[in-house]
Order: sequence, then C-alpha cells, then structure tokens
Amino acid sequence: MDSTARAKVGQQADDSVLVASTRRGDQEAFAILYDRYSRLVYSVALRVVRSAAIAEDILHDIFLQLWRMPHQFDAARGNLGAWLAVIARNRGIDRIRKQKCTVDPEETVLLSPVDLSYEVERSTVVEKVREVLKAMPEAQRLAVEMAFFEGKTHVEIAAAMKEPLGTVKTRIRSALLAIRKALNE
Amino acid sequence: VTNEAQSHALHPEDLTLYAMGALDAPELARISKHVEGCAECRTEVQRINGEMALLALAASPQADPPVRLKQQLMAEVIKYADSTPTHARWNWAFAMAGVFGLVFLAVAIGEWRLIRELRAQNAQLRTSLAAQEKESEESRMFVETMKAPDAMRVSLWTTNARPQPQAHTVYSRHMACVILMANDLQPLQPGKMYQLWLMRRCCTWVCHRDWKLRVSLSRLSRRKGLRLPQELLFCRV
Repeated sequence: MDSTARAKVGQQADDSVLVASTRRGDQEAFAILYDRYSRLVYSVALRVVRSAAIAEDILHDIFLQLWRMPHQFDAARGNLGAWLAVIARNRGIDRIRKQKCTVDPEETVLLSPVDLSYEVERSTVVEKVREVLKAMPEAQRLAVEMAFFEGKTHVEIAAAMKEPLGTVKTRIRSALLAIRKALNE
Repeated sequence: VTNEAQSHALHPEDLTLYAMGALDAPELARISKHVEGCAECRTEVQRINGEMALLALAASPQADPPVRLKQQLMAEVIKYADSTPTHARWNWAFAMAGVFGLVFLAVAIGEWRLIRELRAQNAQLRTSLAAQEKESEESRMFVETMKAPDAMRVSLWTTNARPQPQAHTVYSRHMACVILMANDLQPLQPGKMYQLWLMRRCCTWVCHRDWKLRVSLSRLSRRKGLRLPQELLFCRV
C-alpha cells in the first residue's frame, strides 16, 4: 500500500485507532486527528475567549497535550470530538477567569449522544441544537450563554439579569433538557 | 434522572451548574463531594457534559484555524519526538528490557540447571575416582607386596603330602599381559628350559622369545611343611 492509499485509509480510520497510533508516536495519525478536530476546538475556544490569539494558544495547547499525553483520552471517556469541545470550552473559561487550568482533562468524562467524528452527522446534530437555541426565550438563551461561554456563576448571572437564583438555575437546566429532548426525538 | 438527584437531596439544576462550573466555591465543594460517591449523579454529569459539547458546537460560529498553526504544532511534535523519549519509545524500551530480562532469566535458569547437573556429575566422578583410587591403591599394594625383594612366599601343605609341580597363568588380552605363577617345578638338566606356549585364534602355536621362562628355582626347603619359593613372571605381549 503506497503512502497515498495509506493516508486515505487513515483519513477514514476511527478516532480510537488514530489515538492508539498517536500513543505509539505515529505523527501521521496525529495529523489526521488535528485535521478532523482543529476547526471544532478552535471555534469553541474562539467563541469563549473572543480572541483569535488566545484561541490559537488553546488549540495549540490542547493538541500538544493530546500528543504528549494521549492516554488522558480513551474511549471510556466518551466521544473524542465531544471531549475536545468540552476541554476547549473549559480551557477558554480558565483563560477568561485568568486561572490556571482548573479542570483536569482526565476528570472530564462525558456521555455523548452522537458521534462527532463524521462531518455529516456533526452538521445534522449541530443544526438541530441551533434550532433548539433559536426557539428558546431570549432570557433563557442568555442565561445559558453567560454560564457556558462566559464562565459566570449562577449568582453572577442572577445579579446581572436581576432575576432570582432559582429562576436562573431552572432556565439553564431547562435549556439542556430541551437539547436532550431534541436529540432523542 | 431528576428522580435520582432528588433522592440524594440534590436539585437537578445544581448538577447542571456543577457540570458547567457555574457554582460558587462552597456549593461546588458540597456537590463535588456528593458526586464523587454517587454513581448515578456521576452518570448524569457525564450526560450533561455530552450535551454541553453539542451546545458548544452549535453556539460557536465555525472558524478555521490558521494553516501555520498546524505547521507550528507538527514542528513542535517532531522536535518533542526527537528530543524527548516519547511514550512510544519508552514503551519500546520497556518492551525490549522485558524481552532481554526474560531471555536473561531463561539463560540464568538454564545455566543454573547446567551447573547443578555438572555439580552432580562432578560429585559422582569424585566418588568414582575415590573408589578407583582405593582399588588402585589396593592393587598397587598387592603388586608391590608380590614384587617386594623381602617378600616371603609360602605355600601351605598338609604335613604328609608331597608337593606337586604347579603352574598357573592369568592372561588378559585387554591388558596385553600374562602372569605366570609356578610352584615346585622340577630343576632342569643343563641346556633345558621351560617354555610357555600360547595359541592364537588361528590355532597356531607361538612361542615368543621373551616368553621363555626365566625360572630360577630356589632350593627346596622343608621346614614344617613350608615350601619355598614361588616364581612370578610378568610377560608383556
């Protein structure tokens, strides 16, 4: 098998196969993972930090960490794409709060309802979630975004929106339940 | 889901905020402690994490990172791989060390068994050698005694019996040696000699000149039935 054919097979390989190869020091497999998920990680980081330079740093750090410590991710921790998205978000929040990394990637475990490694499926799911967000009341979407993308605590959100704590909690919870419901339909 | 959380006196909203990291420090510590010991709540947090990933994707406008980032990253990856022993190299090194260790162990066990066998053989040989030395010493003593110049050769007879000439030979083809023991041979007339003849397998008689008996019989002595001497002859074939 020539290098072109091997690269083509690699492009279609499962994340678990590519991560396993990366663990063995396979740079080609790592590059495929980067091509597959760098856009996702960069977009989430940029959405959180709103700075291209910081988002680039986050992207660089996350993938370098994936290269150096690929054992931090295994299939038991969930879908790689979803895991990277959450890690990117958490890193971005840490930057906003000017904190060191507070969330250990090894402690980040998730149950992903979809496989994000395929562009088509990813686009379908993202579109579905966008519709849910679009259908939300403005105050609810705002509360979710403040918690999720701005890293504010529920107390800070309640103060900013001048709403009771319980209302803020319920709005955030309801937003996620709406996403869950849309994915289960 | 909410039922499990409620049964633990936790509001489901708190688990959502906990997963998002949107709780104050005291609440974060309280719920974190609970989640650590509650499998059901951990599962719920994991589910929320999965939904957070989709939320992150859906709410983030897609943007492509600069191409140079990949080049920088791969350059650093190569540099890291070249300068530092990577996990893969360590794995290889550990694997090789393991293989060498097993080989060394196998060789050591083999050597140990060989040494043990050699020691057993050595002990056996020492025992055999000691027995042979003892036997050799006895043989040497026997021969030396027989050849000793002061050896007294005594034949025992009953008082009234007349001694008869006797000759005994012992021949060993393997040793290429004949031993002749003769007693009471009659003295020969001048010019006569005793001869010892051996027969080959082809049934021809031979008499080697070296086999001619050099018999010098001592004078007979009668003293209380003791008779001297015996003659011992060694012939090398």
